[in-house]
Amino acid sequence: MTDLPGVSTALDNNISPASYPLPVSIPKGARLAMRGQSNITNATDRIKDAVLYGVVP
Amino acid sequence: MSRYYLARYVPPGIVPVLVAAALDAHAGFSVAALSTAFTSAALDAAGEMGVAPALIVAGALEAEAEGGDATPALVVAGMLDAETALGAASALVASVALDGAADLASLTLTTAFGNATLEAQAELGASGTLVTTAQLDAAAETAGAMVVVASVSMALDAAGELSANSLLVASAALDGAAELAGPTFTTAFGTATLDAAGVVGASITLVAAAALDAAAEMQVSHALVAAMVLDGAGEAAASHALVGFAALEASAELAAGHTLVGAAQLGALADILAGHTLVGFAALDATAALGAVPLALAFTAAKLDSGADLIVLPALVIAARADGGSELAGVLVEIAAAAARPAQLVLLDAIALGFEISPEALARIFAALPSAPVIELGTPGETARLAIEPARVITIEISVEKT
Repeated sequence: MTDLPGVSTALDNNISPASYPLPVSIPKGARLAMRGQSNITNATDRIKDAVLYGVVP
Repeated sequence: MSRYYLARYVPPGIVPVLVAAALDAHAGFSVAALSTAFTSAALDAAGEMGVAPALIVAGALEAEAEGGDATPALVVAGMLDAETALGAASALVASVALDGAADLASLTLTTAFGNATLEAQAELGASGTLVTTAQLDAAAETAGAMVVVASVSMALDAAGELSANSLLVASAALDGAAELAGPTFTTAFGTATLDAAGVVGASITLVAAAALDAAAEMQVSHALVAAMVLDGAGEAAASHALVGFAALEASAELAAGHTLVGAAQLGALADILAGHTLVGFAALDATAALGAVPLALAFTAAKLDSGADLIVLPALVIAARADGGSELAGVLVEIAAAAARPAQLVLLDAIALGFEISPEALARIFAALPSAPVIELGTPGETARLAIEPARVITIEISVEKT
C-alpha cells in the first residue's frame, strides 16, 4: 500500500480520512511495517498513532 | 427482496459520504420498496471532517402494496435524541412523507432536494444558524405556473427577533397542479414557521417540525430543523413532494465550523416507477452526554430498486450512532447477514465508500462486533502482536518519518 493520503489542520486530532480499508490478505507470520511522512516537523505532532484492525472473514 | 451489493475498495475520500439504507428489508414495508436515498453529509468536526462527525440519516422507502392497495407509505426518519442519554430536550427530526392518495401511487415523481447549511458563522451568532430555502408551489394563485419559488431563508439563532415563537421555519413545496404532472418534478424544500398557522392556511398541509434549542440543556447551540410535508389535501393532490431535512449545529464540543449538509434527491423515473423515494434526514445534536466525539448517525445511501438492473447495484448501509457503537454494530450485523458478509467487512466497505467515522467510534464499533482483533500501535518503532488467532500472529511495526 503506498501513499495513503491524509490531511489535517493544526488543531485536528486525527487526519482525514481517518480510516483506510486495506484489502489485503496477510499471510501467517507476516511482518507489517508502517511508515508515515509528514510536513509537520514538530517533534510531537509528526508522530502518529495507528490502529490496525484485522478482519478474519 | 433486496440484495445488497457492497462496492469494494473504492478509494477512500472520493465519496464524501455515501450511505444507503435499504429499507426494503423491513417487513413492514416489504414488497417492492425502492428507494433512492442519497445523502451527503459533510460533517465537520474539528475543521475538516475530523473528530466529530455529525450525521445524517436518510431513509427512503416506498412501499407499494401488492394487489393495488395503493397505499404507499413512506417513512423516513431521523431519530435522535429520543433517548434519555441524549437529554430531555434534544431535538430530533424526522421527516415523513406520506403519499396518501391512491392516485398518487403510480405517478409520483418527486424530486426533493434539500440542503441545509448550518454554520456557526461569527456574524450570525454563536449559537448557530440555520438557513433554509424553500420553494413553494402555490396552489391557486400561481396556477399554470410551474412552481413558485419562495425562498425562505432564515437564520435561526438566538436573535431576539425570532424569539419565542418562530423557531422554526418550514417550507413545503406542494406540487399541486395537474400541469406539473407529466415530466414533473417537484422540489420541495422547506421549513416553516409554525406559528403561522393562519397564514399557511388550513388547506395546505404543511407540517414542519422543529426542535430548536429550546431547553437549557441544548442551549449552547444547536438547531435542528425538520421539515415535513404532507400531501393530503385536495389542492395538493396531484403530486407532492417531501423533503425533510435537518441541520444541526453542534455544540461547542464539535467545534466552530460545523457544517452539516444533507441533500437528497428523489426521483421517480419511468423505469423506476414502482416507487419513489424519499429522503429525510436527521441530524443530531451533540449534547454533552454524547461528548466531544461524535454523534453520529450514519448514513448511507442506497439505491435499491426493484428493477433488475439496479438490483446489483449499490446498497449500503446505515450507520447508526457511532458514539455508542453497539447500535451501529447491530445494524452492521443485520446488513452483513443480508449480504452474507462479515460485519467487519461491511463496515470496511462503508468506509471505503466514504463513510466517515472517527477512530474512537471505529474502535468502539469494532469492539462491539464479534471477532474483531485490534491492535493499537503507539510510537515509532513499536512492535506489537496482532492476535487474530493463536496460530496467526502478525508482527507490526510502525515508524514515522519527518520530511
